[in-house]
Order: sequence, then structure tokens, then C-alpha cells
Amino acid sequence: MLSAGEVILQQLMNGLILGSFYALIALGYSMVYGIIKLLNFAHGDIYMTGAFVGFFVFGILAGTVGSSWGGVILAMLAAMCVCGLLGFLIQLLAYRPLFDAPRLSLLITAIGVSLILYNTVMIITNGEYMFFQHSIPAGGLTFGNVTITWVQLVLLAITAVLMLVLSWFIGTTIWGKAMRAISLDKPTCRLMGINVNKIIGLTFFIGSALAAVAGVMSCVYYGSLHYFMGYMMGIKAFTAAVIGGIGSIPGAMLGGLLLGLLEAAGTQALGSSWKDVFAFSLLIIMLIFKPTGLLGKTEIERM
Amino acid sequence: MEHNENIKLQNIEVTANTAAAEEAAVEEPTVIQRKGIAGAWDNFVEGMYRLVETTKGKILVFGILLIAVGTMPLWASSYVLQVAWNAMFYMLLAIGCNIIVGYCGMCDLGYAAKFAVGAYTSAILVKTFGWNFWLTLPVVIIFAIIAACIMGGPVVRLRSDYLAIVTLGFGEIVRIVARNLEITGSASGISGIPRPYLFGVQLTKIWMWFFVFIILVIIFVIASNRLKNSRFGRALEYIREDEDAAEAMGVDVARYKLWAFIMGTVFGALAGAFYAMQMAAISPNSFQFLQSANILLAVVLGGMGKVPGVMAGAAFFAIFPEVFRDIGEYRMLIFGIALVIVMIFRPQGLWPERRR
Amino acid sequence: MTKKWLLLLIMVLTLALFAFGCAESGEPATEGQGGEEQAGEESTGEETSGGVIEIGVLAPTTGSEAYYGNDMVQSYQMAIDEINEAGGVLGNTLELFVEDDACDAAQAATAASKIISAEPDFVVGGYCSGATIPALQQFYDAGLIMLVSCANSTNITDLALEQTFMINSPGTHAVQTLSALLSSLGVTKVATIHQGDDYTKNLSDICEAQLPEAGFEIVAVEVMEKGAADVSAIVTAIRNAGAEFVYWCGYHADGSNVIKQLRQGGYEGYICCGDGSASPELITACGPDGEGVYVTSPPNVELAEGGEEYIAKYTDLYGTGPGAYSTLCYDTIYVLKEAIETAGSTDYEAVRDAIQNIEYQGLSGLIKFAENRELAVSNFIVMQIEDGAFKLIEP
Repeated sequence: MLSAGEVILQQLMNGLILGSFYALIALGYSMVYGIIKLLNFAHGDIYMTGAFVGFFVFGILAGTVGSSWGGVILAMLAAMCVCGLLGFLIQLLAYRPLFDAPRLSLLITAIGVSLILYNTVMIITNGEYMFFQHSIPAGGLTFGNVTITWVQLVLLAITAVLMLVLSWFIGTTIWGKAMRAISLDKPTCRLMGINVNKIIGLTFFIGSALAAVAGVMSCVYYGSLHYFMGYMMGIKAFTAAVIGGIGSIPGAMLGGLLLGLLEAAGTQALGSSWKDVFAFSLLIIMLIFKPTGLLGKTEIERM
Repeated sequence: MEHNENIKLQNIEVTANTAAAEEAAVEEPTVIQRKGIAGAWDNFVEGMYRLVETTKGKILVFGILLIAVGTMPLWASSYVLQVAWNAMFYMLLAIGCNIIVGYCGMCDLGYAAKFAVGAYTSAILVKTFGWNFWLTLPVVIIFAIIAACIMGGPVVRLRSDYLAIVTLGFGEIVRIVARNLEITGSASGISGIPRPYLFGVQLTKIWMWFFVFIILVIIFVIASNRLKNSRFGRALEYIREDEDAAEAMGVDVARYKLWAFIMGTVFGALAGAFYAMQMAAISPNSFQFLQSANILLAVVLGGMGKVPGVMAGAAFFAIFPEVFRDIGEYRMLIFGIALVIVMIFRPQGLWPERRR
Repeated sequence: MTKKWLLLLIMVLTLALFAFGCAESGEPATEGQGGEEQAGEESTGEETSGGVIEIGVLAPTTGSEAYYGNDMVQSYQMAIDEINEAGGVLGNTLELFVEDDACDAAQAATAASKIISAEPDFVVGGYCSGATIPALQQFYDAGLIMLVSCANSTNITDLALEQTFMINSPGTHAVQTLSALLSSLGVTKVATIHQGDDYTKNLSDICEAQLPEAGFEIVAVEVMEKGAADVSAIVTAIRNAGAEFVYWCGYHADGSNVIKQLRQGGYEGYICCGDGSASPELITACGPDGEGVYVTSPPNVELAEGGEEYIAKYTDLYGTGPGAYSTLCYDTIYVLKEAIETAGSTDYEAVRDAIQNIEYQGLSGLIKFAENRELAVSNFIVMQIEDGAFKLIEP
């Protein structure tokens, strides 16, 4: 039996870990939405692809670099590059021809891309689960009955660093400024000489690379990967992005962490069979009172 | 733009035969003559429009279609009938979803929840309480209206993408609640539902359901078309084209959206009730998010707003994987590729609403 | 006006066609309905020797359960090849007709009708209970004898279809075995985790119904969505509930993840897995965290008599080892063979009765049916992971 304080501390930790996965994926949703108003349904599958790329690269590297943190970091970098390029290519081949089409057509194309990624990986892996075996030492910090493993701490640190870097990138660099400008007014940006297509490509690259980080992290943390892992994660991350205010970068981070904490709280209070009902109900109630999400801006939009 | 909207408002207020003027008033990108397969398809669709515009053409096309479909049980195997039934079932859902998505322009990612309401209401009343199936249909409609008001209440005031997530959220909530409750049979769902009787015959064979669904499709098409050409339908179209302008001109956007939502839900729930009876078993797994995405996909693929279009989309969606059944796991991959290609070359859908 | 006329025309035409369809296709349909018996009798005349007995297979060869579906098909094929090489059944060769249900109810319905259209003599298969149930109704309507090899939800028994037999022990048998294990370990507080689908939730429900009667307390019932990786919050909730024993009702793929997170999250009590997790992959995936984990399992081929031979042959043929349900599928075909031979024909009634009264000692244990067409004797065993391998335990 745990004391009430221990339960709360442990569930906070659980929620934060899960929330950082949501946040990393939600960032990709939010960035893409902000810039071309597309709900990129393929994003969850990019997360899944990232996990598999990481898995295979890790398998190759394990012999030379070792199967501890070194190998994981290299696998993560490789997955970031591959998925970033993949995201860029998807945008180039599937989405770009449809930028001026009705937005629902773009949404359906995204579902189509999701089907392609999902089924390709399914065929390659023969529909089987893969198990990620690393030799990162177990153990961690212990407070009474509560244990926080080193892996958890490293994952939180990676998430925090990536978010700080991204905030800096969006906030101060010329590309970040261009991104924000495009999300406000695309035609004017074109007139101002901003290479809009290039910036959109960059957005896809960054969003997909972040999803790949989450993918490799989930390999390390959960140890198993399968071709439909992106499905539920995608839906949840999408929810997180909306909670935070879709299109807003800090909002995606906040929304992700909040959703993770909500789910942990829901599991503790109501049982895991009701936790999703709890999370979605809160989402709907929140949207009724604050339709733009926590940090979203009110804007006039057209379908 | 302002000028166009004025014309449109008048259209709503004036008589029915202004549809042409109204369409002319809608500002649309001009159609460019394209080459290759895309161009050929454009021409084919255009030709079909011309054909069905004349009464003779209408009778010809629908007559051939009806005879071909109506005589199917004589020459087709039960497998083909099952696939055809499946296609018609998706048509019903797509026609219902089209009211929300196509007529009104709301993005609905939780349509499966709506047909779950009908399927469960009917299945519980028939299986647990021993009702006659046909008597459950009014109850299904009442429950659908209640569910639509609960789901639609928060939805109608939201803009498109928030609307998408709220409908998605409700879709998941309905599925999980169905899975957790005893009365809905929890995760196993409800199985062994007795088949209903029609004219004293128990509907156990697939060819019987085939005819029942043909009649349903005809009823749905007629109802949906009448809805579209009514004052209500034109108001919805106005909302779809420009919500702000509609509101500014005095259209009660929230009320019309809620009604569109209710209509779509009633259509979906009725289709769901018949689905439960044909399958004789339903479970929460039949109402996953993927199902909602599929229905939306059929609507957009076929051409939003156009009833024959969404029917074509639904048929494409149901039949395509069956045609490629023998290649096993590659079929959904090919389906995905086909989807992307169709969308790139025909973003407005296979058979969209005609805009001049 | 023209519009109204057109409407009327359509209505009349449809009704006419409907009546036409009723009258015309009524005959072939009734023929089809009685056809099971008639076709059966006809075919017995022709098929006494040299014919083909076609067996429809309903299995998830694509989708999330494709691994098991393909394993099932391979096991059936292996049995059939053996039988055909040995001269077939009553001089007839056996042939498979495989259709994919993708573990999805709607696809299963289509697959079932495709099987029915191909007019096989018997049907075997069925992995996912949720997908199998709608198909069972169709096979019943078509008068085809169905042997369900893997799916073991008690909902199949509840359908009470007279031609549907379950080769795998139902969940009630698993929980009896579990109950014996609990008594021998001397624990009382049990938590279950399921995956929210028909089979795993059914198993958890049976625990909730049966274990309190046997004097055990269910302190928590949790659900881990299929494919949702994170269960840390569940682990904390289970620890907080004071569970001494966790029963994982789900599949082996997610099972390893659950076991690892239970251990990482500081849970120190007993862990036991249901039959969905009875796979050697569970051991490799769990690593050191898996030591000491119990499994209530269908007969394990490695521990069965003649099992090594079976594994060697299977591996030789297909390049991978047999899955957890492989022997059940293999035995299914042999049960069918023996029933046909006892009946002396493929006649519906005769074969059905022969199966009902069969006593077949297969690799998966004794196959003998109770009145409700479940297995009369539980085939469940308890295994424990010890030094990276399954060991048989007598609870």
C-alpha cells in the first residue's frame, strides 16, 4: 500500500512522462496546423515510423557503439533525419498540390498518407511486434515507495531541452519568424519575398523530427514497438494540441503535459476504463468555455 | 464578394427555381480543361450531368441502374451480394454524413458514434426487451435526436477544427461508454440478435437484406434531396459557403447547424439500426475512430454535397478492398495510394457538385 | 409533375423487382438452405473416393493479428498435407479455402459470405472472438459445420449454435485453473488487467464472476488499450489498491510491456498471464523482469508428448516455430478427419453427431465435447518462467 502523498507523487511522474510524449507529437500537429491549417493525420504514423527507424539503426549500431545511451542517441539522430526527410517528402508530393484545394480534401489526403505509412510498415514487419532490447542500467532515485528511474529522468530532460531549443528557434531566428508570419498571412508573406514553400517544408521537417524523437524514446521506455502504435498516440496528441490551442507552440507543450496528467489522474480516480471518457469530457467542457484552447488566439477563419 | 452574398440571401428568401441563379452566384475557380485520364474523367462526369439533366436521360440511367441492381440476386453469389450490401450500408452512412459535412460544411470525425446510437438502441430493445424491430425505429429516431442535441449542443458554436476534435471526442466517449456498460454488453457487444420479419418472412438471407437496403437507399436519397432543395437546405449551403456573411444576414447559424446535426444523426442512427439487424451482432469495435474516418473519406472522395457523388465514394470505398482481396495485405496500401492520387488529381472529389 | 411521375415509376419498379426477387430467388435460396443436407448427401454419393473435401478457413491473415492468422493457416495446411499424403479421408483429398477476417467484424462478415459462396463442406478457424461471432451466425444460416480453433469467449457458447464447436477451452476453464494457482500461492487480493476487446474483457469478467465465489477478492480491474504503450498510471493504481496478484488477460505483445512496467513501477507481488500471452516471445521480450511470471496456458507444444517432432517439422516447413495456437489448429483438422471417417460421409447430421461424440487425443490434449459444445475437460495448464524457459507447474 502506498500513502496518499506517494500516490500523488508517483502519478504526477507518470503523467509527466506520458505527457512529454504527447507534447512532442502535439508540437508537430500544431506547427503544421498553424502554417497550412491542415490536421496532419499522418503525423501519428510518422511517430511510428520514427520508432522503427530508430529500432533498425539501433540494431545495426548495437554491435559497434554498444546498446546503451550512445547507441540510443545515435539512433535518435538517425531517426530524426529520416523522419524529417519523410515529412518533407510527404508534404512535397502529397500535400503541396492541394494547398489551394478545399481543406477537407487535404484532410483526406492526410488519411491516405497515414494508410500508406501504416500499411508499408505492417508489410515490412509482417504485422509482428518488435522488441527493443537495450542495456541501459536500471535503477534511479527512490523516495520511500516511489521510484523515478534514470530513463524517465533522461526522457524528461530531452523533452525539456528540445522544447527550449524549439522556442528559441521559433522566437528568434529568421526562419522561425517567417513561420509565424506565414501562419498569420500567407499571401502577404509571398509578396514580402518569403519563400513560403521552403518554410512550409522546413516546418514539416522539424515537426516530423520531433515525432521521431518521441518514437525512439518510446522504444527505450516501453521496449516494444508495432505498426499501429501511432494510431492512438496520434489521436491523443491531436487532442493535446487542441487543448493547448492548436497552432500555438507553447500551447502544444502545455496541452501535452496537461493531457498526460489528466489521464494519470483519471486512472487513479475513476479507473482506467473511464480515463479516456474523463479526458475527452474535460476537453469538450473546456472547448465550450474556451473554444480556442488554453493558449490559442481568437481568429476568424474560413473553411 | 459582398454583392454575391446579397444575391444569395435573396435566393434563400425567394422561390425554389432560383437554384441556377444561386449556383451562378457562387464564386468558384473556373474549370480548366485537363489532359489525360483526369481530363477524360472530367468529360465523363460532365457528360453524365448533361445526360441526367433531361428526363429521358434520367429514366434511362436510373432504369438501367435499377434493373442491373434489382436483378442481382438472380445472377450474383451471396458474396457479391454481401459486398453490395456493404456498399449500400456505407452509402446510407455517407448520405447521412453528407448532410453534416457536405451540406453544412462541418467537419465530423465522429460519425461512427451516431450510427452506434441507432445500432445499440435497436439491438438492446430487440434482444433484451424482445421488441419488434420495426417498432424500435421511432425510438431510434427519438434517441438519435437526444444524442444529437447532447453532442451537437457544444459543437455548433465551434469553428471547423475544434468541431472536428469535439466530434472525435464524442465518438470515443460513445465507444468507451458502450464498452463499459452492462446493458450494451460491454466489450463483447450484443450478439445473437433475432432477425426481424417483413411481410411474415424472417429476413435471414442476404438477398432479402439486399432489397431492404435498396429501398432504404432510395428513401435516403429522396429525403436527402428534398432536404437539400428546401429552404433549410439552402440556408445550410449559405452557411457552408460563408458562415460570417450568413450570420450577418440574419441566418440563425447555430440553430441551422444543430438541425443539420440532428438530421445527419437520425439518418446515421437509422442505418445503424438496420446494420445491427443484418449483422445480428454488434460490438464496440465496430464503432472505432477508423470507421468515422472511413465515412468522412467516402463523402469527400465522392464529392461533398452531391448525393450521387457521396454514393459513388461509398461504393468505391466498400468495393475497392474487395476487388483487391486476393493480394492480401497490400490492398490497403494500394487503397491509400489510390486515395492520395485521386485527391491530387480531383481534389473536389470524383463526382462533385456542379458549379458553373 | 414529371418529378412525381418519376418517383412513382421508381417506387413501382422497385416493388415489382422486390416481388420478382422474392418469387424468383426464393427457390434457389431455399435450395441453398436445405442444400447443406442435400449437397451433403449428393456429395457423399460422389465423394466416396477420389473427390475433394473443401474446408473453408476464417483467419486474420492481415491486420493486427496477422501473425496468429498466418500461423493458423500454416498449421491447418501442415495437417492437411499429412492427411493427403496418407491417402486422404475416405479416399478424398482435403483442400483449404482461406479468407481473411482482419480481426474486424465487418470484414469477417464479408469473408464468411465469400467462404459460403465457395460452398465448402466444413469451416474451421476463428481467432478474434469479436470478428468470429458475426461470421458464426452466417455459417449457421448456411448450415456449415464450424470448428472454432482459437477464439474462446464464452459468448460463442451463449450463441448456442448447434453446429459450432470450440476446440479451445473457454475462459471459464482458465479461471478454474487460475483459482487453483491462487489457492496454492495463498494470496487473496487479485487485480486484473484486460485490453478492452471481446476476448480479454470476457476473461476479466469471468474472473470477476468466479473468483469472489472461491473466496478471493478482486481489488482492481484495469484496462490497457491495445497498442497504447503507457500503463504506469495503472501500475500505481494497482499498487495503491494493495493487490498481491496481477492477472494479465491480454496478449503477449503488450504483455511484456505490462510486466516490465509493473516491475519498474515498484510492484513486487505475483504476476500471471492469460492464454493470450502464452508465447515464447513473452520470455525474450520481458528479459529478467519475466522471471517467476506464471501463465495459464493452452497446452504448450514444447511440453506435450511428441511436441519436439511437431516443432521440428513445422520449423522445417515454414522457417519459424509454431505459435501458441498451432497445435489446436492442427488437431482441429484431425478431429474433422476422424469425425468424417466415423460418419462414413460428409453428411451434415452424421458428421455433427460424430464430432459431438468424439474422443480424440491430440497434441493439445483430449478433445471431447460437452453438451454445450465446449470442451468437456479443461486443457489449461500452468507454466512458470524459470531461467528463460517455461516450466510446467502443478498448482
